[in-house]
Amino acid sequence: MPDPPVYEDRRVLELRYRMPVGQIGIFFSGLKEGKVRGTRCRDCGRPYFPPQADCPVCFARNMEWFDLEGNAILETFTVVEVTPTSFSDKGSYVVAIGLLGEDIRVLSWLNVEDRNKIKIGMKMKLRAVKKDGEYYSYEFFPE
Amino acid sequence: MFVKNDEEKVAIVGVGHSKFGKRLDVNMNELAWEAIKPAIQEAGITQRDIEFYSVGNFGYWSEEILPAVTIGEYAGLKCGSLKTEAACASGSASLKIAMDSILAGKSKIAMAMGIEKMYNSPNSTIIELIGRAGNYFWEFENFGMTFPGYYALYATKYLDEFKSSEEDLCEAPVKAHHYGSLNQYAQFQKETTVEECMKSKYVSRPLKLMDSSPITDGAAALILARGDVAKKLTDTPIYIESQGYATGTAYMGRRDNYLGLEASRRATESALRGAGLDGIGTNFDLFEVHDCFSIAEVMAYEDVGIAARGEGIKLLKDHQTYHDGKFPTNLDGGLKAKGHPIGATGISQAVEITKQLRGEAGRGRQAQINKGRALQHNVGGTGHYAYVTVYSRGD
Repeated sequence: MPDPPVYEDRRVLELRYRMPVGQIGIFFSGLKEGKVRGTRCRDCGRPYFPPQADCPVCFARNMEWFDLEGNAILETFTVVEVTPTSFSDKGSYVVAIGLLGEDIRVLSWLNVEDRNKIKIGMKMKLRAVKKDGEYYSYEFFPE
Repeated sequence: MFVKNDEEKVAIVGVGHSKFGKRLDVNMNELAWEAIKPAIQEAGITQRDIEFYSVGNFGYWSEEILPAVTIGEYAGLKCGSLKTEAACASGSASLKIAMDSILAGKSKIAMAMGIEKMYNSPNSTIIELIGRAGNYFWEFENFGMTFPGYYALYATKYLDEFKSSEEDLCEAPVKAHHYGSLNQYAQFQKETTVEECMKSKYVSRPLKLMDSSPITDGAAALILARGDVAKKLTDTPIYIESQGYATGTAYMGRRDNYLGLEASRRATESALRGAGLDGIGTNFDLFEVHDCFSIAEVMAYEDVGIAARGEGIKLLKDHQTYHDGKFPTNLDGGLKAKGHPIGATGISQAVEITKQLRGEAGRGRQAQINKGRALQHNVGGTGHYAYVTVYSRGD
């Protein structure tokens, strides 16, 4: 059976958001210095990753920045085989969730050569990385 | 539990369901009408009787930004309306709002519908847009998360923790396709096997194509009425006894564990409490659970409480969730075989429950109705939203 007729849209929109990061600028300057950082409420001591400017528990805006040590245990992972359009040039990639010493969990890529060696419970290190020579992110590496 | 009088109840008095699948033969309004028309006719009302309506829709991949308005115009509806968004639970959110308009005394008859028109965009665009539905900045921007990717994080942990296999998970699509083959509205009306599932390609390891619900166009509609009005309209009103809801964290790192969905558990507890029930027990004849992936079905058994933690796969393999088992579940083929048109899914589950409780589900997939009560579990995203609804014949 032939496909029914469709009217191909002539109006094409490129979506590119401008995401305000002014309140967490120290996170990005930290990546450039090789640090991955979270925030901690000075009033109640709660740590936040992703970092945030406000503490909704004690209603304070009194955060201090701290460097994550980066030592992590692999809690779970997946290999994304079917990738989104905007990642179509990346091939497949490993996404992992790691439990850090600070009782914080981070989701990030796991940069590993042999994917067969990935095991739940393995030790990893979270590090700041420069991507494509132009912007900064963070990734897990096996320890 | 206090006894409600008829004016404090809401019942389903008419249902409509489009054929699910790749529906490039119709536009969004035409697809909506396919569900709205039979719902109105079955209720024996006209558009003028509807005092409020809601449209569950995620959108983005289809062109209409205001589906409640375009559908309303096409269907001859002029009363108040809105679109509801709770990701894959947008349909349950639609039901909530329409029900609330009756419970608040603002309407006596309302319509809750849901619709999704996914094939209006290419597959790769859909994978991108649905992958963005989580914590965009901290999960998608740098790490390209996908919808299967999110559930795969749970699947990896679950299989490791409970020493289960990918073959075990493949029992879920086998069941789904069996019932899909008996459902004329289903996208996939053919049986499958564990072997066929195991041969399908990985989308996000350990989940394969056959572990995953498809991209689907579809619509479903419910006409709701206040209890006293419902009794005048039909001899078989299906009452909405209770609805529970909860919101999980956006960021996956903030989840309590990766073995089940905490929001589902809270929504279930709330729904059961609202219905005056102290647990699942033998209170239910039927379950509709959100099986967007095989692992999602297994975790749903455990989160809803028909299986203990770690025993969902055993329940499935023992056929206890088939129509003649202890906890009949997804006898319409579920999201996996019936299809998963995001905003329509919650309403589609309610349509199925209504037909089952009326005894109209059809040969080979009708549950035995003893208690006259059913439970619906509808999750948005990966435990981002959770809606659990209890329905009953009222007997």
